[in-house]
Amino acid sequence: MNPTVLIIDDEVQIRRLLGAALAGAGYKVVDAENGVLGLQRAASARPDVILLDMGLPDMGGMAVLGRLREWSRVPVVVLTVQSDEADKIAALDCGADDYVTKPFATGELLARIRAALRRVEPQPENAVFSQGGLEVDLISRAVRKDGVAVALTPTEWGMLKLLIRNAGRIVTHKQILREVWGPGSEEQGGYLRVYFSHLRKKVERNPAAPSLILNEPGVGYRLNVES
Amino acid sequence: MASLLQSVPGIHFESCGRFGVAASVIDLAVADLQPNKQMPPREQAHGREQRVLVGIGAGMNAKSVLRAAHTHAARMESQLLVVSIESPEDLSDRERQTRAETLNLARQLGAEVVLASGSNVGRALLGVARERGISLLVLGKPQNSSAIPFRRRESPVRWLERNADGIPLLLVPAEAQVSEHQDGTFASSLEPKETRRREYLGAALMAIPATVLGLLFEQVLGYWSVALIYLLTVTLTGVSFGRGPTVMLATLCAALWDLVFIPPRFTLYIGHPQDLLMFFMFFAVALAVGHLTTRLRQRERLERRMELRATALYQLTRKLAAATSLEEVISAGCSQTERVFQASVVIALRNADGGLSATLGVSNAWIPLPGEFEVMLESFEEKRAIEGAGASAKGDRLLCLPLLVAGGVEGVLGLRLPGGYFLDANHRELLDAFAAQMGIVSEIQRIAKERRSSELLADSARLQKTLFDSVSHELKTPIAAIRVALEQPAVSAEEIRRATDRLHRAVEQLLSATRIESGLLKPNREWCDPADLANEAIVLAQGGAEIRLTAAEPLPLMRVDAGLVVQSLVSLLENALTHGASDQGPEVFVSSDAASVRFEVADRGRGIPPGAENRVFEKFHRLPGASAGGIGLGLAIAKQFSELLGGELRACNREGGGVSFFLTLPVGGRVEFPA
Repeated sequence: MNPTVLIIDDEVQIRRLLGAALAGAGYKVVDAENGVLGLQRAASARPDVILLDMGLPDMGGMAVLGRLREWSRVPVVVLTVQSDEADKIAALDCGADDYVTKPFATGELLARIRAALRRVEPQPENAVFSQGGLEVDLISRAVRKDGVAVALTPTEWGMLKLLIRNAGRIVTHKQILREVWGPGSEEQGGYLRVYFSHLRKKVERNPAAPSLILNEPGVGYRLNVES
Repeated sequence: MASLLQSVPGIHFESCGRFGVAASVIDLAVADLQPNKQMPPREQAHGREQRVLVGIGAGMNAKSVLRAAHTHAARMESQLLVVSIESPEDLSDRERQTRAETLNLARQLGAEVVLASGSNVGRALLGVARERGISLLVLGKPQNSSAIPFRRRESPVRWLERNADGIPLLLVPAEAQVSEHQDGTFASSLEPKETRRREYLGAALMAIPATVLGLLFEQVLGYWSVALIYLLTVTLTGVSFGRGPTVMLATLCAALWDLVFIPPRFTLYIGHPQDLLMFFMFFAVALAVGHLTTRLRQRERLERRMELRATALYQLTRKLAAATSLEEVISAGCSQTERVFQASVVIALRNADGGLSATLGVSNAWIPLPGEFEVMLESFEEKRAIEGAGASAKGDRLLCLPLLVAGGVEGVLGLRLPGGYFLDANHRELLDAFAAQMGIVSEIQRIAKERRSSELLADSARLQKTLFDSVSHELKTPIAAIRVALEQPAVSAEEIRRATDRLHRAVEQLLSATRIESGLLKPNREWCDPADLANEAIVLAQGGAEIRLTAAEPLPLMRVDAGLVVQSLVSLLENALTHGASDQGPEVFVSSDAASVRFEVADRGRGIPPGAENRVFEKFHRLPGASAGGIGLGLAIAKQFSELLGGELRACNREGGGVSFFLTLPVGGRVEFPA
């Protein structure tokens, strides 16, 4: 059965075009032009994923997200025009699974939707991750780049493991710090970039133009699973 | 510098209370109501701009003369010019004060006050009258108050009657009651009289050493030579004592010489005709020498007064000329006025609405009390000097002078004078000059300020226009491209994508510029590898030509907002891609020293004309002949970003052609890398 996508956006043109693109990709599409209607449709249509615009006329996207999270754990991808990272982080903290910034490419949006769906799909416990010449055995902790064994520090291993577990989805700075360094280290993000720089040098084919570990400036990191 | 002000003991000032300014105003009101018999017929006045000149002396009838002149001027609907001639002769304190009060009264009546100097009062008055085109000259009738020889030469009135050809003269008789006061007041001013008595005594004592010397040398030199000793004594006395004591000493010496030395001795009888002639010659020469030395001394004193005044004014002018803003004008004006007049000074200037500004330049910690500010405001609005009681109730007096200029009034100079303080005519005139000078400078500064702000306005209007043109061009061109592409039989997706990219970039830049200007942008610093940042920027800016990166090893970590640095570098790279050589891609060099990291983005384009290195960072600035591309904000944004991060961005031409942009950023502290 095809997954259902609920689009909550007040712009009719966006709803129409997204509807067409998603239908073309094999999704069932339901839409709503405001927050109240969106919450009703979320309850009645039981979508598998929700695309939520942050700038709704009747109630803010954040409010819709808050009300939704009171009763549902359905994946939500936020659509935003904000280039301000603080708003994206706020939405992620509020329970959104990911975000895309307008203007976005359809391919990018579909990738986000797929990643968001993977979170709730019962996943086969895949012990080996393989992408872009990188092979990671999560059980034996063996990491190979193009067949050559790579030695990672415990910190780097923790970071890589976290990204693989959330493959395709954004992992915020806060999440990384909490998971790898432990609770209470969320505010020490000043060095994160340097650690990722080291990790990239070990796992990327071309660390100068990374294709695996992508930086979402000001928000977090993402493991790219689309080739 | 000694104070220019004289302090007159309180009792002296009190004794003159009847002649105080307030009393005079009341007198004036009464005087104005009384018909004046001396009134000349209206048609007697001639000339287009009618001016009445009144000559004011230091005599007791000065105020009544002034009032009469004021009445005439009012009836003739002409301007009143009050002239006081400063002559080398010493005035008593009482006379000085009377003159100052009269001139104050004149100022309150709205008359123009002119101080001139000259030994011939009549000639000086006539000079001013001719210069100003006077239609009527008013003078007080001479009083026969003095019988001292040389003291009063021909009265200025008599002189003018003979010499004022064409200018009608009006003589105001002295009022009987005024002369009554004259005696009473002089009797009450004890101190000058005591001083004078001491001077006479001192001069008389000078005769003793002269006589002793004469007795000693008479045998050797003969009694005629003794006359020379006496003459020397009289001359020396004239230098340090007043005219009266000198004349007295001359008489005394003549008598002594006759009595002691001319045979027959110890009689006043003179036997020989040549002795008689010698006696009278001696008497005449002694008087003349005494008189002349005294005049010389007085003139010297006058000149010193004038010089002090000129120096004070010069210093004020110099300080004011150095002021570059209204605030500096206020502070220079306050401190200088305070120094010269030793009073608390406050200056309030007119504000943009034409009212009196409540922000005041205050020195000496005097903040005007509400009542005092109202007096200043009144002075400002009525454009006249106002003297009133201070609000502090310690006997202070408040003097407010409007800073008058040709076009109006620029502000008010307020002085708080301690009780018993006395401003004589010279100081008052100096103060007027100060106020005039400050008015002129304030006006210049205010106009300069207004011009600056209007230039700023014009600049911002020009910028607005450029923004409008640039933004409409950058937004409409891609839209036009999309439309055209869509209308083609085979829709070119690539063209549309390129147009939307361009549109997107323009909007992003506009938003970035707006964010910087709104002050919302706060750098979010984290430790970064400079080479990583350069790589990130290169990946984002990649298009067409290849970008080569050369990074020094090792590079320190730097604590910056990675997003801002990358965006700055992308702007520089986009600029290099647009304006660089088409066959040679931009180059990026990263190097460092102890405290900073330097990114160099270099191209092989046409370069920047010498002198325009800073202009490229101006918003919407496009070098002449440069290829179009971008909204013209990229470099401006990059510069603002780098400054936000505490760094700098410079441009200079490269050797071998092209431009290098140097983005230098501080490393931002020591790395304490956690394990």
